[in-house]
Amino acid sequence: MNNLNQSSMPRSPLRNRLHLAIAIFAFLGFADSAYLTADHYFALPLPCSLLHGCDVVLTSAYSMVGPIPLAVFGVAFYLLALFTAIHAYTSAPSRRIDRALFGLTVIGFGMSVIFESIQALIIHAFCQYCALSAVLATFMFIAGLWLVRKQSEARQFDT
Amino acid sequence: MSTRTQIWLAVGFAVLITALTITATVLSKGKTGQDAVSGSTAPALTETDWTRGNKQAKVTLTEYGDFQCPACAQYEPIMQKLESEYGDRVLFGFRNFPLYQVHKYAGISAQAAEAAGLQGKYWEMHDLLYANQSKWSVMGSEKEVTNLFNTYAQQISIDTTRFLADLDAKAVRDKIQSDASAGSTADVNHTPTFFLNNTQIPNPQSYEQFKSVLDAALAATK
Repeated sequence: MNNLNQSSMPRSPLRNRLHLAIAIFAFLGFADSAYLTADHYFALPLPCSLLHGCDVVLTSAYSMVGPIPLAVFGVAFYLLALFTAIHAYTSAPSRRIDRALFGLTVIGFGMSVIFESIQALIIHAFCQYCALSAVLATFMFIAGLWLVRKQSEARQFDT
Repeated sequence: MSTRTQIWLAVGFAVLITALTITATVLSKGKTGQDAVSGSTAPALTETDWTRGNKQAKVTLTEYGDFQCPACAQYEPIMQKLESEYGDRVLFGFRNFPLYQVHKYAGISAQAAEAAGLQGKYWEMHDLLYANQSKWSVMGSEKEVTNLFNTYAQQISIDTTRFLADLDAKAVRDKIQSDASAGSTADVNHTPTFFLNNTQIPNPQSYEQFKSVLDAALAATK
């Protein structure tokens, strides 16, 4: 028996594409965060280079939550978003899953805004890996926004 | 096998392969040294350089460093351990290579060490700056940082009035500029950069790697 959430959601190519786009961005974000995590645990700190301030960001007090590097939270976040997007892509259409996915993209985007602000206003240095993550989180947020917009349009159409 | 299962398996496999590849890449980077090294040469240590260890030693290890560089601070305990173990056989030198573009207080911290050096307490200030890097490097202004450095000057018992005056002394600025110019000529483009017997080497990744580098250099002199 289909529940109301599922029955009122038509399966559309656009929704599928948005799920897939979020999954791809999340996968790239996972790779980015996984690289930073591996670098934190397995390599000595990046030497300070004339060309960029990555070392400043990645070794600053803001790069850790207690003993855990932020990159670990990045890995967890992107994996959760990836699996949720794949679940949405492969399951029957569900408003609840789409809303959960959108909620995740809001969290990712919000955290990215906070982290980029810390880099710009407090640390005064930028890390290109963090910037990549922020760009990916922004793309995910835009796709998520599009997803819920289509959802509300579909609801208006239903009523 | 359903399409759904196939998609999940493909995603899981991609995640696993990516994680393994990244870990292998980072590990191999750690084993081989992170940067290609030119093998360039730096000027030999002289009386004008800050040195620790045996001045008659045939093996010298020169570090180009920046007091605000986190990687340099992480190398510092390794350097101190090496100095206590090899101090009778190796001469250790430190030259300034402040990365002004990325480290706001690179200049003033180098000046603080040089100013303390004018009163014979260079290494004491050098060690304090690295030990407390996480405190002063996040401060909001150079004035706050200078005030903190003044407390370090008190801590190592030097004349603080003279210390504050020397911070901006021409001799101090010239020394830093001279170190940095020599570093640039020797192709230094990151910190720390190490020169063994005046030849640039890849940054050893651990105390053990540093030991084997020094042991090999000492064995070669026999």
